This record gives sequence, C-alpha cells and structure tokens, in this order.
Amino acid sequence: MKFSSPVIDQAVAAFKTLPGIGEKTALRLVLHLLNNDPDDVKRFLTSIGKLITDIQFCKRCHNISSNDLCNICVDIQRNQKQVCVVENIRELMAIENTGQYQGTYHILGGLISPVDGIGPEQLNIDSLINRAREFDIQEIIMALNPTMEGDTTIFYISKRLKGLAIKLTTLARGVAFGGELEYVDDLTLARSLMARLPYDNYLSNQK
Amino acid sequence: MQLEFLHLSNFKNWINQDINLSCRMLCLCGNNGMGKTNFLDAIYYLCTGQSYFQSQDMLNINHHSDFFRIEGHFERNQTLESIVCTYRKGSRKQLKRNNVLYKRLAGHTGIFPVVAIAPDDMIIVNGHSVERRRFINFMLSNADAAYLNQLIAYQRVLKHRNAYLKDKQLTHSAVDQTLLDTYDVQLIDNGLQIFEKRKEAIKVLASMLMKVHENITDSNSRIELKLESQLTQNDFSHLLIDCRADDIRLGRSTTGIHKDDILIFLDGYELKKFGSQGQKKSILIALKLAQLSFLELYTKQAPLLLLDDLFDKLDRSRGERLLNYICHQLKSQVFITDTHSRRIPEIVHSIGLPLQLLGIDNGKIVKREIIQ
Ligand SMILES: [Zn+2]
Repeated sequence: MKFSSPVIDQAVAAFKTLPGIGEKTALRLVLHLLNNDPDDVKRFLTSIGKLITDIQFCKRCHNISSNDLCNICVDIQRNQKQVCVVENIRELMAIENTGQYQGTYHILGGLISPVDGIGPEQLNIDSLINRAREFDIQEIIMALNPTMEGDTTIFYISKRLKGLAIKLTTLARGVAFGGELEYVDDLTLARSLMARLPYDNYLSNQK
Repeated sequence: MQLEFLHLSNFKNWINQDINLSCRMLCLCGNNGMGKTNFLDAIYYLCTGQSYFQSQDMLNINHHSDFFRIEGHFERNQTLESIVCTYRKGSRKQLKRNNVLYKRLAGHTGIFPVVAIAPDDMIIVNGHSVERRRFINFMLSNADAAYLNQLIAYQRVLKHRNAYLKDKQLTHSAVDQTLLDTYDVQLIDNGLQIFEKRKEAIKVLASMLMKVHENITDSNSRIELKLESQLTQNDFSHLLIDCRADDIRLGRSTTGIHKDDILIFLDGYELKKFGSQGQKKSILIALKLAQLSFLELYTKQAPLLLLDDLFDKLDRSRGERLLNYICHQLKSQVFITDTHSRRIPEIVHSIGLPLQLLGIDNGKIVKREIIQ
C-alpha cells in the first residue's frame, strides 16, 4: 500500500516493525494518533523515548534497571547466593509473578542456536561464569525451555561451571510443563521451581 | 487395515471424485498422464501426510484452484477411521484423524503404514547413500516412534554443529571447544541409539528379504545386507575426537550416522556395482516387500501396498510370480496401476481373488467393475 504522504508511509513502516502488527493495523494506529490531542501524542512519545534514555540493563544480571544494578540484585532480603538462569526478561517476570522465588536471576538473552547465528559469545554466559566465581554462588537454577536448544545451553553452561562448588539444578520436567515457559501458569511454574532437580538427575530423566 | 472410501478435490488433475473401494486387490488402469500415479500419491498423503514423490504440496494443487483436499475412510482394527489432508496456498498443511488436527505430522507416522513401489525407486539401489538412509529411516520411524524422535534430535544437533563450524570457518574466528564437546555428547546420545536400531533392523530385514526374493524369483541366490557405518569399527566418541580438527578445517561434521550406508550383496558381489538391471529390479521389489513385512511386524497393521506401473519393472511371468506372492503371502490391500486394462485382472482372476477394476481418464473414474 502507498499512502498520500511520505510522512504517513514512514510512520506506518515504523509501526510495522513491531511484533504482530501488519499493514492494516499499523495504518489504523497511525490514523488514531493523527486524530488524537497533540499533547497526548507527545506524552505517548516521551514514554517510549524514555525506554532508551532512562532504562539500562543491570550490570550483574542483565535485567532492566534504572541504575547500574537492578532492584533484585540490590535487595538484601533476597538470597544473593542463588541464581535463576532465564532466557529473557519475560520469563523473569513469569517467575517473579509466582511470588515463590527469593533468589536472584541471570538473563542469558537467548539460547545457543548457531542456525540462527547465536553462539555462546552472543549470550550473557561469560558474565554468568564470572559472577559464579566472584560472588561465591551456591546454587544455579536453570529455568530454560525444554527444547533441544535449551538442553544444549544447560549442558554447555554445566561444562563451563565444572570445578566450581556450585549446586546446579533444573526445573522439574515431570510437572506438567506445557511447552514454553512464559505460557505456563503461575501455579505450575511455582511447583516446578520448588520441585527442581539436581542436573545429573535431569540428564538421566531424559532417557 | 483397508481403505474403503476416497475423496479427492483439486488434487492434481482430480477435480472432484468420490470412490468406494470394496476389494483387497485394486487395479487402476488408463493411459499415461490420466492421473493413476496421482491417485496413488493421494493415498500416500493420507498415510504419511506427505507426497511419495517428494513433490512440494503447492505443486499438487490443481492449476485452477488454491487448495487440495483428500479424505479417506479406513477400516483399522475393526474400527472406521477418517483421515483428511488439506493444503491451501499460503497456509499450513493440515492433517486430521477422526476430525482431530495433528500438531506435528510426526504424530501420524506409523499408524497407517504404507509401502509404495514406483519406477524411480531404482535410485535406492543405484543412487547415493542418502537414498538408502531415507529408506531405512522411513522404515524405522514408522516402526518405532522413539527412533523418529532420536533422528529428529540428531539432525537438529547436526544442523547447529555444522552452522557453528561453517560460521567459524568463514569468520576465521576461534572455535569454542566446550560447545563442540556439548554437541558431541548430544550427537553420541542419539547417534548410538540410531546406530544400534539400524543394525538390528537390517538383520531382521535381511532375513525377510531372502525369503521374499526366493518367492518372487526362481533363484535361490544369497542376498546379504550390510550396514556400512563408521561406528561399526570405532567408538563414536573417539571418532568425534579424531575428526574434530578436520571438522573445524572443513566447516562441517565429517563423522557420524549421517554417513551410514546400506550395502546389498548378491552371491557375494555388491549389487550396485556388479548386478544386472534385471537383478536390481527384482531385488528392489523384494527389498520393498521385505520392508512391508517389517512394518507389519512392528506396527501390527498390514500396510497398504501401492504399486505404480508394475510392468515397467517386470515381464509377464515375473509379474505373475509377484502377484502370486502378494495375493497368497500378504494381507495388505494392494493398489496397482497399469496401462493395460486386462493384464492384471486376468492374472488376479487366475489366482482366484476378487479384484476391483477402476478405469481412469483425465482425473475421473470412468469405469468401475468388480471381477470375481
Ligand atoms: Zn540485576
């Protein structure tokens, strides 16, 4: 579709870069903004702009944060010796929503998947290994999706952690674990967090 | 297991056809290009969710339409079951069993077993090793659902490992040995089980092959099957360590069960190199019928047998022997295509089995007759 104004074309193209937004929806959103009070639109844009200016990533766990370290990493009420490794922020939020977890997190930023151009060096794995060494971490919980890429990533990290006295656990798979972690309901997720398994068991359970 | 009803919409040159199938033996006759092979392929779609001829789903839609639909009613374990396969341009192919949509095509594998024999299958005997791996993979995936999962996992790990090696080769960057160690463990995990299952299956298949071959030819030649695999002589983990430097240099995985081959020997000579055209044809047919027996043993269902252009491969007397074997030794429902309308009905009649004859012209059934 070509629109009467290049400005509209560009705005539509910008909306289309968002997930789940096609041409029609993009146009609808653009026209909606055009008809709105200009001040409302400005406020809308400011809040989006703050994503770049005011949000950074936690230097320790890569969670979104307003400071160098995120709220979870500075919270002394939480067990700072326990680290739950997740693929991305959505999964961190899913686990936080259960209200059952009192440790900290580490966000990998994806799973090892060379077919998609993602090797270990593209992920926050080195920082996890360093963190494990420097902060005397006692338990690392691998809360990754049970796909082949998830298995590879867990196995790879376990090899990199070899020699450190750290308890490595995974979410219990036996608990009805319906596919993707972020879609699992709170209760199921909480239960599989409580019933986590030592990693050795996890390997032999797969057979 | 028997197919009792078939409906075709816009599948190749079949615009709209319903047909009741009432015999174990069926003969489809008509001139070339009238739709006999497409008819068989439609049945293959119902059993496997895919085309036998590895054609794209897109190419099987009639030119004047944007979808195809195949529906079949099967009698299976004394129960009537319906299978529907639909494909619409730009959408995902759908396969339903009794109105329930499969999430993965793999879920359908081995439930409605089928074996097809078509003129181009000579490539199994003459072609590259990939053709024989496809043969054994098809057979074992249908017989053993765990095999299919192991194969899918192995191939996925292999794809990642190759992508990683290729990327490191192109960017001349250092390889993470720990990641390769990880992939190697995953390859070994699945690869060893695949290897053991292939080895075992080939033993069983070989004895079935001998019997079938004796039955359909007059010879008592000795036929052997041998799994040629790097894993036969060596430990897979040692192979991976030994080949790692080569893998990194070449940017791909050079060892594993993805290199396996199946060698066929006739009286001690390798068939591919030394066999005559006639010997190859009869061994190919025997191999496929042995596959059918194998599937019957493990799936507990008599697979459908689809014979495309049977007499492309055989003269009349060999054809008679073969049909004799099929009628007497197998329980399978059999679909045979032929350009002659009398040849196969005559042979089956002399054997004493009823046969349903379907005359095919330009994507339509123009004649139906049951010959008692
Ligand atoms: Zn943090």
